[in-house]
This record gives sequence, C-alpha cells and structure tokens, in this order.
Amino acid sequence: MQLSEDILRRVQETLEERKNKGPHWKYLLVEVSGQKFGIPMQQIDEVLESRRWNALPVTRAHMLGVLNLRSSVVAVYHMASLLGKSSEVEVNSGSGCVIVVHDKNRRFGLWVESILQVEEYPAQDLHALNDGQLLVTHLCVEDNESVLMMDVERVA
Amino acid sequence: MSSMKQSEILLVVEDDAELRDAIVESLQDLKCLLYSFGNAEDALLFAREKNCFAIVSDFRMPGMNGVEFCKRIKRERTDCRFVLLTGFADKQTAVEGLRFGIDDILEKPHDLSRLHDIAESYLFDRLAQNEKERTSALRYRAEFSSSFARSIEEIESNVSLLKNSRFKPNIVHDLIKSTGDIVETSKAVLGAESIHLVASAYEKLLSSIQGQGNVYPHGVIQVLVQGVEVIKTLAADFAQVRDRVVNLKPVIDALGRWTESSTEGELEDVTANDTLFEAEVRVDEEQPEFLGVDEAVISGYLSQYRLNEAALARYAAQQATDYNSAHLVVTDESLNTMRALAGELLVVKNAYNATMQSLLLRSLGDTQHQQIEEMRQSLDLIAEKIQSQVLDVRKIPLRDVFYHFPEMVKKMSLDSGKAVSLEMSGLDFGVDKSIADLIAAVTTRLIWSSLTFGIEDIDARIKKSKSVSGDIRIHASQLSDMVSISVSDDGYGIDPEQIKKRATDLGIITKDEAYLMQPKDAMSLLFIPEISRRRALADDAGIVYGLEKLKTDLEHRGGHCSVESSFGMGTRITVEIPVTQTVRTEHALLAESGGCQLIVPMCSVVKITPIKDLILSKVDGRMTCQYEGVTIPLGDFRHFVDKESKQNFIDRSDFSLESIVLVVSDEEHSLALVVDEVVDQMDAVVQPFDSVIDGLVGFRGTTLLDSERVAFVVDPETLLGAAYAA
Repeated sequence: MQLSEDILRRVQETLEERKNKGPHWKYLLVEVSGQKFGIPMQQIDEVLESRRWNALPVTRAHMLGVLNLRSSVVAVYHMASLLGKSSEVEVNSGSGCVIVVHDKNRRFGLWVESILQVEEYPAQDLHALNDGQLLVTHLCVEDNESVLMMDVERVA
Repeated sequence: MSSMKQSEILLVVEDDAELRDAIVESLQDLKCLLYSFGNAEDALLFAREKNCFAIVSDFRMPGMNGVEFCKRIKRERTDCRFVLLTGFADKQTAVEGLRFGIDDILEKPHDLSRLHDIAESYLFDRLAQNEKERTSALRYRAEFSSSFARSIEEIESNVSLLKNSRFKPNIVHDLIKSTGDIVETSKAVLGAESIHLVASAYEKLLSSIQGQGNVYPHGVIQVLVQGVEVIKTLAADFAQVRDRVVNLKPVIDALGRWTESSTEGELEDVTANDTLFEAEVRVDEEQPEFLGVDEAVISGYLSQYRLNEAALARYAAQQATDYNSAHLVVTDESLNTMRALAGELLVVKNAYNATMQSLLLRSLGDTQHQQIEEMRQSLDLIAEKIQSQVLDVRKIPLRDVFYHFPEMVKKMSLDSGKAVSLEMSGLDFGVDKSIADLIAAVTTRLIWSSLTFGIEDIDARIKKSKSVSGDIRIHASQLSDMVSISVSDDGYGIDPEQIKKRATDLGIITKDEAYLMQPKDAMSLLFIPEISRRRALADDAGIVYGLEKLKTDLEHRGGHCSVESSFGMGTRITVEIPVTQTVRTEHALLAESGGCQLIVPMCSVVKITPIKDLILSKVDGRMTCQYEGVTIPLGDFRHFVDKESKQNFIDRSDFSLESIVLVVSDEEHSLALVVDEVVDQMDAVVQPFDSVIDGLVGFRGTTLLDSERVAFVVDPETLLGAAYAA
C-alpha cells in the first residue's frame, strides 16, 4: 500500500513537472460582469488608473473617448461593451483602469472596472475556440471556474 | 547574348569577414566581377560610381544597415538588384524594407547555392537587358543617321544659297527648321551628345540672326559653313562608332560669340580670324572610354544649352554626391523625436499662455506684467523657430527625389520604341522625408502613363508634323499644405467624344447626358472605375487608364488628382499630395461645445457672432439662419456629423442665449456652427488621427491642450460636406 502511494505521488510529480516544463502563457485577469477574462501580457503596454479621457465628438461603437498618454492620443474602448456585456457600474471618465494594449499596427486602451491579477497558464490547459470572429480565442477551466482569453488583435 | 566578358559587377557587403569570404567563394564561377565590402558606406560610394547589376548585403552592419543601403542605392540605380541577408529576428524589419526595392531576402544561416542561383538569374537578366538596349540603340542610331543625312543636306544647300540669295530670312527659317530636327533627334540618341551640343549652339546662332534683314557680314556666313563641317565631322565619328574625346569648347565659344554679337544688334565680323576650324578642335585618341564629349565642356555649358538626359544625369549624380558629402546622417528615430519634442513645446507654450492670461487677470504690477509679456513673446519666437528648423531637417530636396527620372525615361523610351525627352522644373524646394517616396512613386506612375498612353510613336508623330521626339514635362510647386506635381506631354491628347462613347457603351451615362456634357466634365469620367480599369484598345490612343486607383489612393491621403487635355495637343495630369506627416500648426479658435474641445481653423471662420443676434428660421424641420442674404444650416457639430443627432430636429430653445455662432465657409458653402464658448485663439499642433480613430467625419485630427485635455480639430471641408449631404 505504501509502495503504490509512493508510485502514485511520483507519477503525479512527474506529470506536474512535465506540465511545468511546457510553454506557459501569461495573462492579466480582469472581471467583466462577473466573468473572468484574460488579456495576453505580451500585448499589454501599461495599466493606467484613474485616468481621465476626453469624449469623442462623434459616437463610435464601444469607444469611450481618447486620452492623452504622454503626448500621444490613444483611443479607449469599453471592454464590457466589446465583449457584449452590459456594465452595471456607470462608466465615468476617470474611474476604473485603462489597460493600454497593442497589436502589430495599433495601440489603444481597454477600460475595465478593475483588474484582478497576473496568472500564468500552461499552453496545454488552454483550449482553442474555433470561431475566428470572436474576441475570445481560448478557454481555460480552473477550480471549476472558466477564464476566457482574448486576443487584442481581434478588436475591430 | 552577344558578350560574356566579365564586365558586369556584383557587390558583396558583409561585416563578418569569414562569411563575406564564403559568399564571394560561392559566387566565384559567375561570369562577372565580384567586389566585397565590410560596410555599406564604402559599398554605396563604390556603387554610385560603378553600375552594379546586383548587391548582396547583410542587414545588420555597423553604421548603415542593409535596408537603408538598399533605399539609398535604389534612388540612384533603379536597375540594380538587391539581395538582403538577414537573421530570423530581423526578418520582419527586412520584409518592411521590400517597399524600398529589396528584390530578395535570404534568411540566415544562408543557403549559398540558393544565393548563387539568384545572383546568376540577375546576371542573365542584366545581360539580356544589355542586349535589348544595344539593339534599340542600334535602331535609334540607324534612324538618326538616316534623318541626319537628310537634314544636313538641306542645311548645306541652304547655307550655300545664303551667300547669294535675295530672300535670306526664308532661307534662315528653313535652316532653323533643319537644324532643329538635328537638335531634337540627337537628344534621344546615345553617342550623339556632341552633335546635339554643337547643333544647339548653331541653332541659337541662326535664331539670333533671323530677322536681321538680307545683309549679313561675310564672317557669319563663313561660321555657318564651317559649323556644318564640324557637325558633319562629328556625325562621321558617330556613324563609325569612334569613341574619342573632342574638345568642343572653342567651337561652341566661337558660335556663342557670334550669337551674342548678333543678339546685341552688332552683327559685324567678330574678328577677322574667328572661324571654327582655326579654333583648336582637339582630338584625343588616348581616352577611348568616353562617348564623344568632354565632360568638363558639358558642365561648363549646362547653363547655356539644353543637354540630353545622359549629360544631365551625370551632372545630377555629381550634385547628389556633393549633397551627400555635405550632410550628416540623422536617423529616422532622431527626426521623429525632434518632431515630437517640437510639438510638445508648442503644447507647453499654449498651456503657458493660457495660464498666464488667467494670472494677468489678477492684480499684478506693471513690471511683472511686462516681464511676463516679454517671456511670452520670447517663448513664441523660439517655439516658432524650432518648429521651422524641425520641418527643414526632415526635408529632402525634390531634385534628389526626382534624380533618377531622366535615366528612367530614357530606358522606358528605349523599351517602348518612342523618342521622348524629359524636362523638369520647379524642383527647388524640399519635401518631408515621409512623403518623398510617395511623391516619387506617383510621379513615376504618371510618367509611365504619359509615355505609354500619351506620346505617339515616331511614325505617328512624323505624320502629324510633330517633332520626332515627344516631350514630357514635370513641374512641381509647393502650395500651403500640399505639394503639386504636374506631368504633361505633347502627345495624342484625349478625345472627349471617345471617352463619352466609352461611358455610353458601358451604360454609365445616357446619350443625352453625353451630348450635353462639356469636354472638361468628360475628363472626370476617366476616374470612374469601369472606364479606368478597362484595358487599352487599339483605338483608345491618348486615353489614360488606371487613374481611378491613383485618385483613390491620393484621396485616402487627403490629396487630389485632375486631368486636362487638348485633343491632338497633349495631356496634363496634376496631383496634389498633402504634407500630412510634418508638424503642422493651424492658427485656430479653441471653442467648447457640449463638453468637447474643438479647434476651428481661423482660415475657414468668416464671422463670429452671438446667437441672439441672428434671425433663425426652420426649413424642412432643420434650423437655419441668414448669412449675407443666404440661408445656411445652423447647429452644433453633432447635428452635422452624428447620424443619431441628425435625426433629432432642433429648435431655438435647444441653444443657450449665450451660445456663439461661428460661420464656417469654403468657396461654395457656409454653415453656422454653434458652440458654447470661444475660449481662445491658438496655434494648434495638429496630429492626424491614428488608424484606430481614423474616419471621424468632420474632423481631421487632434491637438493636445495640456497633460490631459485633447481637442478635436474641425475639418471644414468634410463638415460642410456632411452638412449639405442629403
């Protein structure tokens, strides 16, 4: 009995070790309308707290306005709106956080009420979602809770 | 291939000596000369002097990198193929460099046999091209020789008539015509530069004595007789392909002296002994490489004579070398940083002025008031100077941007079998580095269009009694925020009836519309995709295709394109390219409207008035007011540009009595823009929208007011467009 438990533990450790050695992806986790979302860390430039933005003169879908980021004008999207969720808390210029992200050609901000933490996930735990149109590209289930991983490049 | 001697040159540029040797070793069996360099700067100097068919260059090198090297060499040597060797990490940057003319990219570790194959294919291309050029040149030489024989015969016979005839002006007129033919035809022929030079001087002399009556001194007749002999001698050299240097300076000097003398109305024998053959015509058999003309003579006479493109190209190459050696290399990054800093300085200046104004409202002593005012004025002055300097630093002389066009036109005309000469004017200003490539690309396209569709072939031109050689003229000019380039030709011209017929055949316009359409309006049909994208047909002579894409590309960048044409006479296409990427300031009003800060360019504001002073009325449910007897739309900017706001009709009660109205106007329309308050006047630094925000109708960019506030710069043109849209 002792022996089998020992073997089991060693198998477990080996599996864990193998898992740890594989590629890992880092995400910044945020909560939007009760759902956890992950933004790839390599697409994040910085996170700004309590930053005021300037309303756009013409309404644009999902866009809150623009902010002056060290002499650069950066557009700010409402992340909940992008994800099709309605934000229960009223969005005010200056509240929450703006996550400044980039893709190959663009730089813009994503407004969220608050951020949670940075998490690292083994690539094998991320399940690809096939729909090429969605902002969310991967799903990860951890402790019976799902985390949806988004790709900044898909923000239109 | 007629010649396989090793005269073509390939450069290998690699800072790693071991790798460089390996590359050279792998290319040893190619029938070409191999030169290797450890850095791009030395290779560039070499490649400017020698016409290389290909360059194999590393990307990452100390000093100039491979992409920059390619960019520079391609400006001068468009036909030089370029292979870039790059590591994986640099591949993306290298791929972006493709737009500068990189032909192939090989990733490290290099496959040397692949490199060998690529270089070999380039070598074959060059040899094939040489052969083609040789054949074309021979054809040109044959055609030139034949037309030259006719012209010189006419000149000889007319010069002998000149001695005794009573009707000398008529003879001089015929002489000018025959000499003009030689001047024109010799211009396009390689190796006939010396004939062109002397014939031009001869033509000038004839022009100067035209109208001098029937009596000429013996000396001038003698000079004309001997001038024919000189031209015939040069033509004999040309026919026998004798490559030798002839010092033409004394000949041209003598012709020039007679020309000056006759222009001043003192047509007397300049000196008894001043004849062309008594002046020394030095023939130097020791320098066989040069085709016909002493280069120093050409340089000396550039200002006086129109030279052919080969001479001009050599001159321009010298200029370019001088230019480059007189300047420092500044990286893009440094320039961009300077531009950003100049912009920030203006932002700080504006913020400072705003703060000072509010401070001055408080009770300050006269001395403090004066000190602050002096500081403000100094700051304004320095900011203005810095901005002007930054703009200048980023500028590239347009002459350098257009440098390769003469050579390009020569090649295109050889390929197409047409004789074409190129004249460029208005190149004495600089353009911002960021738009130099665009200007070069657009102009290349226009030249190609003129040469392909506009200029007739030689036979057609002769039938129409036009000069054998067609003219393409490029004229550049600088407008306030645009660079204007026009490319004109003296070719077919566009038949408006032909375009209308195409348009009616394609169902774009009805026959009635075509009947009523003015010729000028018919030209706008060329920009319609269905017409623009048609392939040229045999009976489409003169019609330029592909303009729709050009216009779309330009309009996307805020530019314009227009076509003017006179059927049978030629066509002119003009493009205007905005100078968008520079630090651009707009003298403007800062206004607040519905929580938004707006920058309204002063040049578009024709009146500022309180709303309470206006008589408002409703037309079709929309608010309007009277301005100079005309009813114009009134509203805040959202009513003009926002779809949702447009739906909601407004009333006078929607505006505060304290609101201010800015009458914004262009040449055709006006509108009354209601704002809550006019805050200030300022020189706003306009930043164009990035790709995320781009496309806000009625606005052209943003400007920073302080560390947080961003104002939106109104674009009067699109705002008026939106206001008057149905």
